Amino acid sequence: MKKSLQVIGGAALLLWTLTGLMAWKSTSDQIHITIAEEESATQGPNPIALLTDQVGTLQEDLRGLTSALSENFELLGTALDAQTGGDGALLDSMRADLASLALNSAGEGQTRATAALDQRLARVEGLLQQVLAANEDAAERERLATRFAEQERIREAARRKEDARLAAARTEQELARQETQAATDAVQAEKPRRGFLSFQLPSDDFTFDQRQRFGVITSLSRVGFDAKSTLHDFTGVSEKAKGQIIVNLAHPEYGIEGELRVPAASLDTALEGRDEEMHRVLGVERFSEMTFVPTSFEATRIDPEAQEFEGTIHGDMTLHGKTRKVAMKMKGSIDASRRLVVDGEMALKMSDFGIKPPNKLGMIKVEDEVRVWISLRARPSALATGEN
Amino acid sequence: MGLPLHNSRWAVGLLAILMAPACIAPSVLEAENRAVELSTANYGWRPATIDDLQGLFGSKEITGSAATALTKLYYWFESDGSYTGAALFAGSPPRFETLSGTWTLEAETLILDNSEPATLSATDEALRLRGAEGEVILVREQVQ
Repeated sequence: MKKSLQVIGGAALLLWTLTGLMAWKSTSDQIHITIAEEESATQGPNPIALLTDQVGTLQEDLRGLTSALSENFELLGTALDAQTGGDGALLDSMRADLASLALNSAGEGQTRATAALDQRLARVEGLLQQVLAANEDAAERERLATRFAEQERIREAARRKEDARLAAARTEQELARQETQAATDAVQAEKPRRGFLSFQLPSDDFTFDQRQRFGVITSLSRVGFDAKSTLHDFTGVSEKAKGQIIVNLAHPEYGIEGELRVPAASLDTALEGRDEEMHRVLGVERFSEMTFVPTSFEATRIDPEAQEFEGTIHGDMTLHGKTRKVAMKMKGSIDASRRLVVDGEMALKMSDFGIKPPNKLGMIKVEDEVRVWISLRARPSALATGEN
Repeated sequence: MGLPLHNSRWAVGLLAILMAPACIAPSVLEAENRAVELSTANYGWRPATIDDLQGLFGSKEITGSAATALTKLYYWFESDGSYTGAALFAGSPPRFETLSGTWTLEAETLILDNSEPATLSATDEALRLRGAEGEVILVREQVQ
């Protein structure tokens, strides 16, 4: 059955194909196909003339466009040259294209010109788009730069204004502090005490715990030494001590400075001949002054309530032209007259300072070691501005 | 017996030399005496009279709280009850302050203008003024 159907189908397809071939054969002789391309061209307006007109119009437009764009390109070129070298090269290329375009459009054949014009116009259009884009970018950059500069200027102005405000505030604070201090000082200075013998005295408020100057009161001070000899012990005393010390008695660890000066010739042993010998061995004409410069104070007891202290003062002593480090035990207090009262004592050897102990014929011989002492009174005073 | 005369002279001379230093009194200042003694000495004070307040006086000692500020005082008293004074105030540098006015003395109380009264004692050459703020001993000064 299946095979029968295949045979029938094949016979039908063959019959259909033969019928088609017969029909095509019978009609092929009656149909003519003509290529009418040239016939239709000769029947309308002259295409060359039309193209010439169009090219002429286009040339005029291009000249105008070239002229207008040249000016703009000059301006753009100046701006863009400054921005990027790539943009400048692009403009150069565009100028060359325009020049070439103008030249070609005037002298070459119309067919070639048309094709070239199409090509160049497309390129010009592309270049114009690039230029416009670049121009817009430049304008945007310039706008952003201007905006940024303006913002920067505003920020700078604001910063300067803030700096000025802070400086003014600091100045005002400092002035206020100075005024407060001045007012306090004035109140302290002007705080009248009961007139003593008609003189108005400043406040006698004394503060133990503050750094201040103590000026040695020469008339109430003594320095000296005790010496031993084979004959008699004796003491040499000077009442010409001068100097000052700057210290916070409650906190001497904060630092101590000053000096004590004693004229060597002022030492007196109460015996004229002995004094002469002493001055000779001290070389008072050459080394006229004995000095002590404190460098630190090592406190062993400080009693701010009782206004007393004890400890060891360290410093440099210069005697007979030689300076040696020494340490002297001392104690001090504030008396009823608000004066610093200091007493101290230490042992030293004359030979350490190049002093040869006096020796008279081997019979009267002074021991090398002597005890040096101080008994000072000093008046307190505030430190001047700038001192510390 | 004994030494010849010339030998005796040598012996005396040697003894004199050896003994001479022993004649020199020790001159050691005891530790408790090292400080300058403030005036508690007996000047022989007596109550002052108007006659004591004449002439120039300068301070020898100032004690008490006034000593904090005052380092030196001078007064010139006139018998007509006027005076002028100068005070050297401590400082860096020190400064003088001067004033003039009148004084009155009633019993032992001296009043300079409107200041606090002071107890006045005197010797022939000195004045002592005691007040709430200290004590001043003034000694007579010679005018050049």
